[in-house]
Amino acid sequence: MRSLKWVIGASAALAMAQSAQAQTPSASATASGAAVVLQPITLVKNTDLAFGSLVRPSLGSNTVTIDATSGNRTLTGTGDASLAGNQTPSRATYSVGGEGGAAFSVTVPSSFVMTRQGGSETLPVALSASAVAGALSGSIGSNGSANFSVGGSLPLSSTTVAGDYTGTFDVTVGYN
Amino acid sequence: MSPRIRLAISMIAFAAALAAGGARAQTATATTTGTTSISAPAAITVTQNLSFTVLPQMINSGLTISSSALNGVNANVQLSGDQAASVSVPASFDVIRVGGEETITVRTVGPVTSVLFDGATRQVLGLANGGPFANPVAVIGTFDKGILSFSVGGQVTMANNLVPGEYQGVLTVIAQYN
Amino acid sequence: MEEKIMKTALKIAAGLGAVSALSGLASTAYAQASASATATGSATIVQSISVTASSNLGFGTLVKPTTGTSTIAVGATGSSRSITGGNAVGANGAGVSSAAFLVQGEGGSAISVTVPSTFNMTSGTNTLVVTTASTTTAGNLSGSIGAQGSFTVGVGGSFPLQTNTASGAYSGNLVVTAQYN
Repeated sequence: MRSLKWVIGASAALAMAQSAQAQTPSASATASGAAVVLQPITLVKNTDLAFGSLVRPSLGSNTVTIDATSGNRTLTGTGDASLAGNQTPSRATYSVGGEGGAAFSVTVPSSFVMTRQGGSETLPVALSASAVAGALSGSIGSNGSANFSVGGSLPLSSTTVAGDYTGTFDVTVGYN
Repeated sequence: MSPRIRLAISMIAFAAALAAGGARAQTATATTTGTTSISAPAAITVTQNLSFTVLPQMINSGLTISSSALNGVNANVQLSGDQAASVSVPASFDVIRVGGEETITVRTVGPVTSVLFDGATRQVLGLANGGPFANPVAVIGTFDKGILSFSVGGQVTMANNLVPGEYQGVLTVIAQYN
Repeated sequence: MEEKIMKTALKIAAGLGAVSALSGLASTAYAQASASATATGSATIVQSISVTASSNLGFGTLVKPTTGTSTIAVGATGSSRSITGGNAVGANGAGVSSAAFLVQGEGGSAISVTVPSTFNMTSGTNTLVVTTASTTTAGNLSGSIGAQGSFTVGVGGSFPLQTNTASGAYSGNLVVTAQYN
């Protein structure tokens, strides 16, 4: 008996191609998108830096310091200067506001100059901050706050001209 | 079926806006004022010492002799300072006979005169007059910056057996910034 | 496959007359009415397409404006952030990155990538809608058949930041799909 050979016709081949097309795989990947949104940071100065009333030495030299953290005023050095009590000394104090939990940094100049009123004599004042960085209280999504203060020191000698001295400096805060 | 071809947005649009977009940070600044007042040290100068002489006939007389009554000389004191200060004079002081050991107590008498000099930029208050002063130390007043001159006199009661001679002692006047 | 052969066999058989049983076909002779045709069957075996996220889309830390509306944008490539309009500023330069997707598969193959036109970043119940921008999403994998090829799509985006936008840490998913054409 003869047997017929069956071969796959062209139509079958076409069917194969169509099925391959319908099964083409796809792949997916996920990347994350992220953004952190903060409210603006604010800074308020509460008290100025006041060294108070000082009596220059008749001999030698001294340094008067206002401690940044405690606000205590101290006299160091070998001269005979003294601290008078008729003015209240004070460190400079500040309040920071902004996004709760946010980290911030403080920029304080290393020094500034006070000039005698009615004259041109100057006193150099070295500055120090109680903190140069911190974090606002609370957590993101709410208002936060923080505080820091600034102290400094100045020199006195027998040739320091007596008078009232004043000067200004800027303190800046920003989010990290 | 999702479209096979997608229009791609040009990158150029973003590149043009890059220009240091992240360089500026938001900061907050506060200006602070620093102040101090510097004064010269308070100074006291005795420009004249207190002295008076007890004559022999006055001894045992029981009289109270005052430097201003005899040809005595009151102490003159000059204070200078840049701030308010307190001045005190002791109610009495002892003098001892030169070349001996006898002492006489001299009571201080308030300023005969008080003259205030106003510094060029400072205000000065006056001293209270009068005396004698309370025991042991009397604050005879305050002055507020400038130069202050005042006199201090002495009073001696003639006790028995006073030995004539020259007597010397130290009268200490203290001025302190408040 | 077997089914198809059977169907094909029936078709041919119908043209030549009815048959009583399939099994009997093999033993019946139709020498004069036979016809045959040869076709080639072929299949191309390709490696699977894959896509991975090699970089996330980061906008970093922003300080919202006190006036106006700011558009915060990160480019499809280059990981640079721009802020236009309003007075929002970047708190710092950290956390800024363009997203990148690496498509891999049979070298030389034509592929297309689907990037959603927007996606959401959320912080609690607050939502920021990011409008995406991408580099070319259609092309050919590098190289040629027989080796692995690749194709990269960069994705950036932008969103508006307003004075009353709620503060918070926002995050969301950017899903990209790739397939052979």
